[in-house]
Amino acid sequence: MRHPKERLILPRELNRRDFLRLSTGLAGGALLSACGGSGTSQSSGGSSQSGPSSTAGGPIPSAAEDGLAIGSPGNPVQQPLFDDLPAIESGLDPEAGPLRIYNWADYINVDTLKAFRKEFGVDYEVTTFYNLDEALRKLSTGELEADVFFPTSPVLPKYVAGKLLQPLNHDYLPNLEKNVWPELADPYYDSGSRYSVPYAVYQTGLAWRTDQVDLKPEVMDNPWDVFWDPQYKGKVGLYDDNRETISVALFHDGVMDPNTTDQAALQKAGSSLAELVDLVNIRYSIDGAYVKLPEGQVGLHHAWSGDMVNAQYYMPEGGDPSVLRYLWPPKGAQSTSGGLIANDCMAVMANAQKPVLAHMFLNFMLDNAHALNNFGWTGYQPPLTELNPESLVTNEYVPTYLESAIVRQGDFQLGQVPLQLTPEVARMWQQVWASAQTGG
Amino acid sequence: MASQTEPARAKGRRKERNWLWPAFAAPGLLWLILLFVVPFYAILAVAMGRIDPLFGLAQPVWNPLQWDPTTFFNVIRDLFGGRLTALALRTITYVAVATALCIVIGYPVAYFIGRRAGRWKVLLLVLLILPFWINYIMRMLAWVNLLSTDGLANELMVAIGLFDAPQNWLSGRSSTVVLGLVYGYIPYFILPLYAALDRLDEELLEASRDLGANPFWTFVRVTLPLSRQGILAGTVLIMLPMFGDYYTPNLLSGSPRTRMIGNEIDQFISSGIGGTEGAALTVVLMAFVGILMSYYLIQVARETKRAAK
Repeated sequence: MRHPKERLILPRELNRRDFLRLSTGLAGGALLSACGGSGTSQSSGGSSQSGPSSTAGGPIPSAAEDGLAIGSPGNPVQQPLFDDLPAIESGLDPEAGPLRIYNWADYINVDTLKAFRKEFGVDYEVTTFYNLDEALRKLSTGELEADVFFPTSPVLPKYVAGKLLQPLNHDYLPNLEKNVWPELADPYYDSGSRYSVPYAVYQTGLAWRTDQVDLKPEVMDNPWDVFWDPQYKGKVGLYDDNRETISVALFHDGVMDPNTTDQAALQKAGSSLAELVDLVNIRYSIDGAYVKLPEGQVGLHHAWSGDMVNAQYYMPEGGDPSVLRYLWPPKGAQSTSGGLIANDCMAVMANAQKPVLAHMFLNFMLDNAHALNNFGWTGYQPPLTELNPESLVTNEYVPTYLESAIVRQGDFQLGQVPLQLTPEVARMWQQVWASAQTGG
Repeated sequence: MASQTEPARAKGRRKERNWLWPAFAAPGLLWLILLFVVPFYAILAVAMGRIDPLFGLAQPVWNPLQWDPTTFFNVIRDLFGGRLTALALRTITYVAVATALCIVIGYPVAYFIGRRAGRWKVLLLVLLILPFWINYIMRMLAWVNLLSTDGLANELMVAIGLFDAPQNWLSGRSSTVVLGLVYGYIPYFILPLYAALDRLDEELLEASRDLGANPFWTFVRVTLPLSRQGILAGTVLIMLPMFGDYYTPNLLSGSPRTRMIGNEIDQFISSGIGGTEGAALTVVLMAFVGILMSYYLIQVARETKRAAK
């Protein structure tokens, strides 16, 4: 799955201040086909599991059989602990800097980092990656070493099984219990937060302009069908991302599982996508929601909630951002399968040189004030109880007409989470995606 | 005695030349090995490699004896009579049309700068090189703004009555992508052609006229054949990168209708799991481009030989 941050990065601060209009978004980016998963999950038994085992031939194994502990909201799992990989002791003093942070580009507010530097008297170094494959390659080969890393929740099990992360000592993380949504302080993908704390939450829904399309997806039986409506021909765009976009086709086809391993369902989804070429002259891009939509190049787009929080700043001069709308179709309402919802985490690397400082950084980022300060710049919402929709709208972090782009507590129960796919299944998705785009 | 030593000395000198002159090629050769042969081998090793079962990343296999060509053959099958055939044909068509347009538009420009510009020559050359000061992607992004429905191009064309309503140039039109390619690569065509036309021997043209040819026939019989090398060099220079281009269709269209081979490679490579397919497709594309390149090299060799006579 491609990550919402995976796009050509702009100096957003400048954009915010100057409403500078720049179009970007090469799909030179990558598809994080590595994320996502099979529907199978481990039970939440307390026993730790063995490390990874290699995949054998024969029937397609689920990721769980691969030695990965993959949970879902209905079936949380604990990540395995390893004897040779203990958590740090309590009560240690933080090391001297610099703290090495490995993060998505443009995904943390420099002011927040400066506040950390001031409070702890240590320097920091931020190295950025463009997609998780790049990060995985560099971290797993030891090409790059870091103290703090930002994995998405679907890829977390892989990093744990590969012994790339170290377990966390919660004595250093009081803000986790105190500030974070209960559902993510003890999340389904990492019960007891053994290896991770949440950083940002995001959903995938639909966004449109009221001046270009007359759309009431909230009264539709299945809002995902809008992309197949010929009356919007030439105005429609989808993300250039295999996990996200095949999921839309699956939902349109009535398949409820965005982690399906069913080849027939995937192929049907592929043909549904291929139909879009002639039906609505579909266009794929990664900047469609936050650049092409405000610019009016499309009237209706597949959209990440975080992109919609940012979209208002990409409105051309003289444009009216209040024409923008966003809907995340929740599961179960009407006959819909819901929309995707996921989150990013912060974790400490197994080979961190400043593990204590890294813990303190995680705790620092879960502080309400610092998290809000960070959100004000990144647009990606930290799952903290105090930063609720009311306060974010009242304090003008999010405009009223886009209040729906704020993720709420409990949404994880109403949506679908992308899980890790095994390489075999990921390859199937990849092939369907490639076929859908070449019409073969 | 003297008659015996003389050839011996000459022989010695020739021997010296034999290692001295090729030695000058060493840095270039080293460069080529480091920056072409080794990376190409790495691509081949990925194309014939495997997927890491835990992390799902494409892994190169360095030992040719352990290579697994399955993916490679699948890609070839897809290209010839499979899923990728239409894509390959489209790519070839786009590149061919764009190259033809570059020749039609670029030749007069190169001719004018090389032969008729007089004191404006330097200024025109600078203007020609000027776009290189700005990154290709930035220039394409500028076109996105110019061509959008409320962009300057549309406003202008509606204002002068060329169209009744703004055109949606960016909605997946082949013409937009081809013109984007032409715009992006034409300077690379003009420059080598200009060089060829600039050093054209004036006396040959005068001779042609003296022998009774009018300007048209002088051009057809003398100028054009003499600038053939320049046209060929320019064509090669623009065709090769065009075959691998993916950001032009991405930025100016984004529709599956205008997808090129480069987009397919980009998508495979950037999706971790498809690294093997992407690498295989890259190898095939390089082989194809290699054929075009060898045609060019053979032509140059032939021409050099002819000139030496």
